[in-house]
Amino acid sequence: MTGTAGGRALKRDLAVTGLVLLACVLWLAGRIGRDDAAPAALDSTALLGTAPESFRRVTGPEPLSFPRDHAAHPGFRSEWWYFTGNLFDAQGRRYGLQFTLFRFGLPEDALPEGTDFSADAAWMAHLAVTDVETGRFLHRERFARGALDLAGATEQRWWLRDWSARRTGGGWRLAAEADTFGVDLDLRAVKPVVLPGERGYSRKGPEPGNASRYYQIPRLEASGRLRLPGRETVEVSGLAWLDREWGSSQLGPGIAGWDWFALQLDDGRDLMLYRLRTDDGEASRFSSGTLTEADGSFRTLGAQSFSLTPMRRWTDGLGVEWPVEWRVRVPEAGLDLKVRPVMDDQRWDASVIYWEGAVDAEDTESGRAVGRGYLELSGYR
Amino acid sequence: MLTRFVHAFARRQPAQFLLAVAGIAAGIAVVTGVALLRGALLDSLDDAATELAGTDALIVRAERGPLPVPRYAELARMPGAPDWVPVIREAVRADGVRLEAVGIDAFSAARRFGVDPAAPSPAGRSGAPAAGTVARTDRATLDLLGLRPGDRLTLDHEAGPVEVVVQPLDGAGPGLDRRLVLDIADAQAAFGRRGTVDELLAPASARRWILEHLPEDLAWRTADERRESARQLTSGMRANLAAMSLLALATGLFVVYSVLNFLAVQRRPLFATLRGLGLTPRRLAGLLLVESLVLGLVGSAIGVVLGTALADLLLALIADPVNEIYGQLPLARSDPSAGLVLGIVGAGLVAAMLVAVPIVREALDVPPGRMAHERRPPPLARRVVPAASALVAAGAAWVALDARLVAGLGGLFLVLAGLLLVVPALGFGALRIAAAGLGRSLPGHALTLLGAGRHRLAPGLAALTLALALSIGMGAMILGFRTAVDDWVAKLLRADLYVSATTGSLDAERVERLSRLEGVAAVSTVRDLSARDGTRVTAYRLPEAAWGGFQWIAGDPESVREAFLSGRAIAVSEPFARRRGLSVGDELSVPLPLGERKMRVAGVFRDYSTDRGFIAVDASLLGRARGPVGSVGLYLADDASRERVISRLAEAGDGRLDWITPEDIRSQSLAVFDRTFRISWAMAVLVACIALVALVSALLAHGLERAREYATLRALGLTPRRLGALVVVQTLGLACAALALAVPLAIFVHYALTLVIQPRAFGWSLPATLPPAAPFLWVAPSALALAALAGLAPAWRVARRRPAEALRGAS
Amino acid sequence: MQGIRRTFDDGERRIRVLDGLDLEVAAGERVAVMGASGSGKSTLLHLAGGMDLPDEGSVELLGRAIHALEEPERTTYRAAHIGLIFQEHNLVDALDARENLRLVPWLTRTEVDEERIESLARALGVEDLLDRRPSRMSGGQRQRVAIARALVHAPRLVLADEPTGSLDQDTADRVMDLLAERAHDAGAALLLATHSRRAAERCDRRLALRGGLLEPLD
Repeated sequence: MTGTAGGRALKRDLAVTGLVLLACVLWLAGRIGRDDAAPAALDSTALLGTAPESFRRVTGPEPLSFPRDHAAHPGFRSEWWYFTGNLFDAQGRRYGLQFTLFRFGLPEDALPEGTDFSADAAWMAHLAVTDVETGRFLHRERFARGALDLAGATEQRWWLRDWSARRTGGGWRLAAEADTFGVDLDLRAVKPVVLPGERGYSRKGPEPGNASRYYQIPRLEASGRLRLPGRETVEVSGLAWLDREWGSSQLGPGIAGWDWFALQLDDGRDLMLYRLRTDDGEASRFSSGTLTEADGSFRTLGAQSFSLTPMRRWTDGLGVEWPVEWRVRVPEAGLDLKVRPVMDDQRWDASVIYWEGAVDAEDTESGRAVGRGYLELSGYR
Repeated sequence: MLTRFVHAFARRQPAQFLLAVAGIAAGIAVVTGVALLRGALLDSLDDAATELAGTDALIVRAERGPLPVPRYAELARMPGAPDWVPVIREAVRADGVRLEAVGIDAFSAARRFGVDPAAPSPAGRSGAPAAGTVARTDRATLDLLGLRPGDRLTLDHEAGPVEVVVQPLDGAGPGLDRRLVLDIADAQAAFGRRGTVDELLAPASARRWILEHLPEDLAWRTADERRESARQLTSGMRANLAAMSLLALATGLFVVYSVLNFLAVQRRPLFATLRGLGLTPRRLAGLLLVESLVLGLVGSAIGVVLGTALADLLLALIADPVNEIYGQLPLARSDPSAGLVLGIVGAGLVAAMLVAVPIVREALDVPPGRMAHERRPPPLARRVVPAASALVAAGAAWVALDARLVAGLGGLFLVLAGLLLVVPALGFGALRIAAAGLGRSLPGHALTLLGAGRHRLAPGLAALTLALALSIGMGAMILGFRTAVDDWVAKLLRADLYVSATTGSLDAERVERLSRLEGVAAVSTVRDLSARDGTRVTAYRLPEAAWGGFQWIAGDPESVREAFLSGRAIAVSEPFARRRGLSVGDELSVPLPLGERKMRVAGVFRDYSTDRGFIAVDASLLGRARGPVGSVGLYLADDASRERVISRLAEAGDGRLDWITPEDIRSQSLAVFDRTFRISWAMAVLVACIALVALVSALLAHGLERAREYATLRALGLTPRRLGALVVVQTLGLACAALALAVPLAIFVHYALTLVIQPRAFGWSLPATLPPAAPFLWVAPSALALAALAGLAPAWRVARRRPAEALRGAS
Repeated sequence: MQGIRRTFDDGERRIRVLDGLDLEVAAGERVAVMGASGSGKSTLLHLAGGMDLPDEGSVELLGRAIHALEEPERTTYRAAHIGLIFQEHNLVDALDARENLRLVPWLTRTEVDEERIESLARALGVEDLLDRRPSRMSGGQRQRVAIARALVHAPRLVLADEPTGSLDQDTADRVMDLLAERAHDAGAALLLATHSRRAAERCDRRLALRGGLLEPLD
């Protein structure tokens, strides 16, 4: 049949009809639906990787002075105020806390005239509460331009709109309300300021400018209230940590991301470690850490003096694998720890995608709980 | 194998199959085009808030005027306050296209408009300052403007030209069509807007906070509410469009039916043979259904494509009037969704199947094996008159009992359907009478022979009649409406000159000075007040001479005047009265600057300026709050020359006054009218095109079916020329019959649109004047000329062949 | 008809249907042409009636070379002098029998002779069918009306192409008798194309069409 002239004509006509239909479908497919690609998330590594020439660089140790340096440092590309903490209520239920204020400096030569909205910086605030009992990771992101007092950081107050941390006699009063949850905490420093790196000059790459100014208060006593969805306000108390850092283009080339640990040990010591990951997934030689003794004295740990080994990965809804469980060894401090998340899903799903969550530390050998802390994983995709 | 049969047949009659595809495509194209257009009118109507602040965004504005920036800053820092998105909106033009420049604080928006702190700078500016102000918009708008990312564009703004660099906003929805998003800092600077913003957007979650904490002097509403009011504004226009598209589809289906029917008749011998060879009725039915499905699929697909292109064309036609009249920006281009396309293609397939059902039933009646003669159906009239009467009665009852627009359109639909049922009987009856009158002349024979094919020609005749009636009726309505508007404007404008301020309004002192101008006998003033709920109140101060401008639809002119001038009563425009269900003597709470006041409606006047309607009050009711007025009418003394007054105005106004003569207002109004009704004209032309398809399909079907008869007549001795004349007489006869029936039907359509649909859609009534003759005079000759042309082609084909060939070909 | 050649082109090859054929029919003579299907009988009749033109040769009727006539004379001449009967589809469905009989006078623009119509109808036994439409007649009735129509304008030649081809034997016999008799009565010559020997027997002369040429039968 197919060999006959009629069969050939049939085939040809069917093909023509099919082509007409296909052309219509293709044309329509091109017209249907706007391109609804979601805007790509911000890349945290890129955020810290480069900065225009007009920004100041951190190039060497400089003495810090307080409260002056609690305030923002205009002229630098990026700066943050970073609280994390582990809290418990009267029933012993566990909560994780994160409050961060990010400042991104804008080139001042591009500020327009004749407007009320001229801004020297863009501000971003992240507030998160991990409710271990219900397995919820509550988080909320806000932005504001650095104009009209919508956001800022002075010696006395760090704020974005109505979220703020006000300086009190011994620390800060942190108050931030999101739609369904909120925090109102009194944070009292129980250790003095610690200066990681070379007296607060924290090198992260080969160039002198690949560095940040870094100070931290690794132990603050927290007490106050959490508001949680569907529940009464709960009274909580625990320990918090403050990290402060600013700089421009602090990450050197070839850095894919970082893994950052802030552990508060039951014996009174506090351990901060970060591993800068190269594009090959190796630890950069600029990885570093700080060990603070119970009395507040501290020493810097070089890249060679500790090792961080991922033990378990958690895969999120996007298919990204996050190494949420680690083995942490600091031989010179006699530490061989297993670090486990209080729950796996503490991933930020906002403009910046990263994992920031409460963790437990236990002694690898005995399995005994020896501390708690926070883990930050960045640059995974 | 069966496919082969169908295919072999299709190849022998490609014209028929193409015609069927064309019929479906034409109907579907109009439906698609109009559906998309409706969406384009609606979807973007202020959907920008959703794009900027998320679904169900809330919009906060000051009661009057813009919001001072310090207020915004204060609101933004209030405890628990939402992340407001401050917005500035400015009307601009780019290459004559109306656009809206939207300045937003990108850092607050739900979407990040290119805000990437890692980039050298945030929204608005890109890297080097020299690059200039960045305006972001979606790809559809870039296409509309013919721009590529990075191109420079000059925006015409009332404060002067603004240079921007356009960048695409990927992932933007249609809400940003015809909108350029700028950083609010750039927008303030470029448009001279330092100090204020127009509105604040907040996400839906902020509703509770707003309810509890929003200061009294601020008003808020949801984007949905805003869209809803836009929906109401344009509902008349959209309903009319929808009705027209359904009628177009119905006409298209008539065409398809007549073509498919004809195909079935031509293949009766084939079906008989196949049935004789053992083809079961079920498979024959399947064969025919598959065939119409394929035709339906191809036709629908082509129709959807054409319809999308059509929607873009129509959108270009109406974008300006929609912006002008409703203050809304339609989409930059139509936005078909997969659901809509599938729905329409599905509807096309279902329609094709439904049309095929009677044809299948008839084909199954073909007895196997031999050429059956057609059953003779009972005379058309007897079958259809009851059904037709029922449809007409139902339609009329619906219109009479239900005052809504949908009832008006539905009723019109039913009545038209009923009338169409009797169209073939009437048409062929008329042809029979004409044939009898013409006796044994060639035209007489031609028409007799035409009558023999009436069962085949009936759908085509009905489609042709409907399409002709619709295009004529719509044209008549538009022209009649235009005349009514022209009369109304001419009567309304009593003053010799109208004066307004170049920017802003005229204060009392200026009005006073105008009234003292030499040669000015009296002045009238008009001040528009808009209440919070959108009710428009217009305060008039009218001299004696101005009163004649009102045309009273209800209320005794003298008593209205007395009550109105004394401030005891108000008058309302007709659309307002209709929307609120008001009549003379009713009480109405009128929002006045000094507070709400209950007042009696003394009269209802004719007005075509806004279909929202408005309340007219005497200026004395404003008390001391008279305030600035929008425009002033100057009534000149009898001996004063307008030129001289104008030159005095120029002196006194020192460049801050604008004036216009009533003649100019009138011509401008008509220009706006014509732009507004472009879409209706476009619809009328579309329907006329479908009429053409109907005509050609009916005649082609007729010509092909009669080929055998023509061949016999040729053999018996009809000369080629007389045969040609015979065919042309037949096509002309058919067109004449359709026209003769279309004329009364068109008059009916004209009155239905004028007296029922217009008032229900827009709230205003039109004087029930005779339909203008022009559309009849345009359509009738073109229909006849086309009919003659359509007849000449088959006539020439038949005449050219030798009779022996024709006999062989036709057997 | 002299030296008639007619070739058809069916797209792939050329078929010579008539190959130098000669035929003369005297006034009032009844001639039957027999032959297998596809032998060219219909073509011969079409050529004889001026409905088709020969590639070569001449066709004369009453002394006029109809092949050389231009339209519309050829058609008018045919209408005036020739009566036609086909196997089927003789009658115009839209018209009743009487109107069908009036069709030829109308075409030739001559007066309708109502008496002649009546008498012919009587002679053919269809007087009761005159107000009926063809679709409501039997096959035999239709062919009888067709004979009447072929004779109504007193043609000099009747061309009949398988007039009984779709009828049963008895009806065919009766129709054929009527055709032969009435044509004779009307003084018209008859050229009959048929493959039925029984039909041919009613004629004065029988010819066979073979290989594009005529040869006498019997």
